[in-house]
Amino acid sequence: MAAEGGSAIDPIHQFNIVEYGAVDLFGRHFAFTNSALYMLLGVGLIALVMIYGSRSSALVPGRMQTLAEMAYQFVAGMVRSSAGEAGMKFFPMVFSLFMFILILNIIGLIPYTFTVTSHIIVTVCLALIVFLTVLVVGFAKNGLGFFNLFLPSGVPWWTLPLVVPIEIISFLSRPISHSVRLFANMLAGHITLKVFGGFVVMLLGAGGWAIISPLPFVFIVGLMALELLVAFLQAYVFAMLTCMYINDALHPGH
Amino acid sequence: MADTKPGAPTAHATQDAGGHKAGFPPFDAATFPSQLLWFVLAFGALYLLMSKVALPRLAAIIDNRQNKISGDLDNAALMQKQADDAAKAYEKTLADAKARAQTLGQEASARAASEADAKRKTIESDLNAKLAAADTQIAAAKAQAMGNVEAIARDAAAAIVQQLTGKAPGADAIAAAVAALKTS
Amino acid sequence: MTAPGKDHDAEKREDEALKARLEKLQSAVSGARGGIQAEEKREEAQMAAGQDNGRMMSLAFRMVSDLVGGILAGVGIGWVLDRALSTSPFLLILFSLLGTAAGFYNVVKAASPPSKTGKDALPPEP
Repeated sequence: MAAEGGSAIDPIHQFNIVEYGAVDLFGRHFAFTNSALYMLLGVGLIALVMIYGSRSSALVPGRMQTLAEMAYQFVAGMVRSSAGEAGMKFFPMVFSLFMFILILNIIGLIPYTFTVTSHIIVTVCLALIVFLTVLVVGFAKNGLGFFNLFLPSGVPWWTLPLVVPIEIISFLSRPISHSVRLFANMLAGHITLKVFGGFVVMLLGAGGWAIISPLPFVFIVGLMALELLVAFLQAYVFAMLTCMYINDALHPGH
Repeated sequence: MADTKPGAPTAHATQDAGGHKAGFPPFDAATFPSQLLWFVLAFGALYLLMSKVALPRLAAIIDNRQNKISGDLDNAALMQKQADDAAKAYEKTLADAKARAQTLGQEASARAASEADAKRKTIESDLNAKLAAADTQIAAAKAQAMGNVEAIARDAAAAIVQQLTGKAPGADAIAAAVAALKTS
Repeated sequence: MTAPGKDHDAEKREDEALKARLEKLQSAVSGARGGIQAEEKREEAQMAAGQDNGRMMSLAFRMVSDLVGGILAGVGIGWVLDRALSTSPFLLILFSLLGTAAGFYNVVKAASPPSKTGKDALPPEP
């Protein structure tokens, strides 16, 4: 009990990976963990809404269908406005990324749950999916013309030795910033929430100080609202940048 | 107790418990392979479900609704136009009928007026003729009467003169006197 | 005499009612069309307004992480190249500087609003 009481305040504890069973294959340790559980839960939830919501082609949509259609229209609008009609080929990918991140961010906000997107390996995978897609599409569509992406127009030629490496590093930094942004935001938000939650618990257990325990609680409520916004915005930014990168792959050169 | 707990400490968990210095869990590379595996499985499943099932269905639904709405609106516009045309046609026939009725009425009244006119004219001319005949008759009667009066006057004058003078006047003198009187 | 007169009046009234209904139909049809367009426009405007705050926030997220990402990318490339070519600190230093420059370059790119329209205008160019 004492250990658990301590871990409630330990802000890092919530990121622990708990194994529910494991196999060792190819000299590596594969386990079914809480992270896997929440990933499957998130995917199941999305599938439930999107597939159940689209089961009947009712002209007047029900609640679930409205939700599904709203998600569809939102992402479709985003893809169309920043990557054009040609980008609509990647709509399922952007949609999957957006919903995956959104739902896992939001599930993670519920107390005592695990936030999959606060683990860098997951966000790196997400960013790499985008990065590799951009590379493959860019070269498949433009061939070597894709290198035009590193040749900004309207720059004096003698600055090219400096500008081209910067452009290349800038391009290579995309998956890094893409994954680090999501990871860091989720991590920081959850640590903050946990710390303030710990304050409430501590104050409640501190006799006379219990009187002011509502104060951090009010703060937590505000923080929760902010985190909810951040959870949405991170998914939005991730999907938005994916669209912009895809647009770059389709039309390289500035 | 430990057996029933799903999160029973395994090799990796004990390593974690072995000291919090063992790491910040998100950077713990030992958990990476399993996370990777499950990420690939979960995201792959999500992508397949979305791209093969949910999104095409939603696209069809939304397209269908769009088409239905615009089709309905077009239909309504068409019907409205038809109704409009019908109303216009009806108004036109109404106006035509009115115009025809008016012309018919005008024609009838004109014909009636001309007939009446003609009748009046014949009556008038009849009357005129009769008047003229009467006039001539009167004139003849007057002339006759005048002739008679002259003769009587002459006789009377002769009788009067004979009475007065005892002597019968000459017929010439009497005629002259009567003529003089007549002209005066 | 009275019956036909009445008939005529009734007819007239019916006519007028029909005409009114026609006009109502016309306005309803055009109203439905206009309403749909207006709703779409309003939704767009609402979205734009609602996204304004979020857009600023997301832009801020982007800028910070772009800067950090650029620096990290530079440091990483420098470190890897240093190890591969055993030129110890030199390439790390060089690429850290380049990475920082790339980070700021990213921020400038993210901050310049015409980037999107410029890209939209691009396709006919090549």
